Amino acid sequence: MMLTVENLCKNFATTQAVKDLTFRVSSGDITGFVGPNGAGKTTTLRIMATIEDPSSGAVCIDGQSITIHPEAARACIGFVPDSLPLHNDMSVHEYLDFFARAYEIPSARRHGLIDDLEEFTNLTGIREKLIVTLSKGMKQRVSIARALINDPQFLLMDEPAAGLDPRARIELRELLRVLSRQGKGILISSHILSELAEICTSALIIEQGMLLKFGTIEEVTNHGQAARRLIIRPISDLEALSRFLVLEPGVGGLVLNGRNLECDYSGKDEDASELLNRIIAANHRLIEFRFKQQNLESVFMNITRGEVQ
Amino acid sequence: MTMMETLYNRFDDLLNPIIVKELRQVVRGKFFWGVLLLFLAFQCAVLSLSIADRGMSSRSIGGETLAFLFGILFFASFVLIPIQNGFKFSTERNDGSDELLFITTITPETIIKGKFYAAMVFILLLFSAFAPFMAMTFFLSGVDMPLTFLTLFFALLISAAGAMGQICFAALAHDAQSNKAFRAIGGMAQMMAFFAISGTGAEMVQYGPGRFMGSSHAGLLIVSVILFCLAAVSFFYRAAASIIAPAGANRMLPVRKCGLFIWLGSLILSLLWAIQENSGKFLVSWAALICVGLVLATMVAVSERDSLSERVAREIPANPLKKRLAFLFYSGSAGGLAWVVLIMLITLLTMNFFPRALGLHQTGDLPDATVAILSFLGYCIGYGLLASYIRRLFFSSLVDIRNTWIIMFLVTAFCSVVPMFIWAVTGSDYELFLLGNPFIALSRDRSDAAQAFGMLLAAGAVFINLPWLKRQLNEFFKAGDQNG
Repeated sequence: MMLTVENLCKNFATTQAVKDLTFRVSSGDITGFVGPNGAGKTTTLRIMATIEDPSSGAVCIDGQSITIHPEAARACIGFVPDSLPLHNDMSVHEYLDFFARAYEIPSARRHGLIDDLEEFTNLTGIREKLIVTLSKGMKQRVSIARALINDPQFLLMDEPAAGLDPRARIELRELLRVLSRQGKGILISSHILSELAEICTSALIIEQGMLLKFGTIEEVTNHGQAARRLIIRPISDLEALSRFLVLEPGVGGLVLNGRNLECDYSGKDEDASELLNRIIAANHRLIEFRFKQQNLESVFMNITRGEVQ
Repeated sequence: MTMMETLYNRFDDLLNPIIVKELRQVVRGKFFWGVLLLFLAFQCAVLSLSIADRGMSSRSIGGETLAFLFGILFFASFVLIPIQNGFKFSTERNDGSDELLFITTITPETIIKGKFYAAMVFILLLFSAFAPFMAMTFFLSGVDMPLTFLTLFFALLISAAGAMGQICFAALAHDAQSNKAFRAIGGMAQMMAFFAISGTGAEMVQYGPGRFMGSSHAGLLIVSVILFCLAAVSFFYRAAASIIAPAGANRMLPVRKCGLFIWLGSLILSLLWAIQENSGKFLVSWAALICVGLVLATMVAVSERDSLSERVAREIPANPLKKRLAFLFYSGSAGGLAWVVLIMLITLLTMNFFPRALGLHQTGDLPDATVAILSFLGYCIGYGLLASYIRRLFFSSLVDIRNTWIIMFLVTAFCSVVPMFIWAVTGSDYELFLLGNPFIALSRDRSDAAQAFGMLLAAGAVFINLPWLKRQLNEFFKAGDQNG
């Protein structure tokens, strides 16, 4: 299944919160949704969750517009908002039971389903506790369990890791990996970019409601680089390898960095593979040959200006 | 699975999820139990004192005690529980916790029904708790049992209308400011209604049927009260469900349909009263009530969206006749105003037709009432359209279209009060300075100028808004053609 966003716009009085946003999320993908505060992430997620209507543009699930058929869309979407569950005077089990009833899940199936969800999200031990007594991490797990009640194909998560301690964040990450392996498409907004880069298969960067970059993590992290930085670590003679590399096509800006040689390489992956073959054939012995990756944080800092609307 | 389990599961599946949630929360909460215990204790005290006082007091001690208990019960069922229920709902609306419900498959109607049923369960529990104490008064003197049951039945119906009314007010709250404003207005309206109704109810209980229901009117009066309460419940239900429905949905269709049914039902009831009393005045009163409803409908219409949502556009029928009808009933500012004008004209025609056709007496007021209602609604439609124009011209970026009714209110207040202030300062011609006030149209000693002003205001406002109205009409019809 495919969740597509096409030319999405949303206006609030004079403010254009989302401007011509286009991207897609496929089943099994974990897409990181990155942008400064006020960039339009929450608005986009709320439109995708059918809570708000777009001013123009479309959000479709397998070609079917969610604004025209919101009921059908809701069966395929789970939404984890940035706020934690607010029904403080209900227990975890009652809260999940309430939403299962709201999804019209028949009684015969509902009890088993809630038990399974509680087990999956590690809530079984606290199911009778009142929500008000739970920690942020636990409440977040309740929120995720609630979003999974209707077994959605797509999960939209707005800052799910905000305020969580390291253990809760790791648990959340693991949970998302499992959900992704189950074939669910996940769109997750977060400010913790290092974590996003670790679990996401693709990323989407927006600022002032506009799309700045969308692609696989590799495509995004290679953003703005005409030539990639190549790192080579030989155990043989460094100078001999330098002399060899200078003559190779596509290689430039060669520098010595400790025990490593670093250079810009403008060739494709196939060319790099050929280069490696030639180095080995020339009897240079290597223990490392890789491209240096930009991380998501540096890409984010490079392409956003930190402006809000 | 045993048959019992299957039956239980079937019953469980039928339950409205909101009721289950509300009951669970109430069982945990302190409010309901607090109210119940407090009033039970109070009743025990009242009944004990009444019995102790039996020998010394009047022969109607039972009736007096019953009236007192009725007052307490009605206060709890009509004021406390509906206001608390509404407050809880508005808090949920305000903190956004109801939003998550909208992404489930639950409908706005189910949510409102759930809130209403939950309130009714508590009201019924309260009635059950009061019943033994009220029954005890029968053993004292001066109690008319059939009338007591009738009064309690009325109290239950009126409490149901009150509960739904409070849910409707609560649904209007969409942020902290509007929450406070609408809760305050809702609370005050409920209190005013309580004082207006409870006096009559208590007197009915205390003094018996003869005082209120002459033998020829009793049946019609009972039917009128029942129909009035049912109409209020169904209208508030439709309105509340529409308010919480997604902005892009065809929200006004059920409300306008319900409005039309209430219009029709109230007309039939008014005709029955008019025939029974052989008086055309009942139809004038009916038209005046419809006029009040149309003023509110105008405020809503100018605050509706003026562009078609995708969902509404898709629902417009291609058939030319159905498309024209749909324009009047579907969500949209221009359609809403057209609906108001149409109902107004039909109401005035009906008000003038039936008294003459049925040969009723007291039809002398009809021409005067027709002009008064027409001018008054002319003022309201004029100010509504003027407010819409002002918002689009000067405040489109500051004031959301859904708040146009506030500008309408301000424009009306400005045009009514400022000229009066100038009059007070300058001492100029009296009536000229009162022309801006819509209520002058209802005054008996108004001049022709006052009558004409309302109509001219409406015509002028329609003229300056013509391109806006025409755009909406064209957009609507074009969308209908595309569906064909």
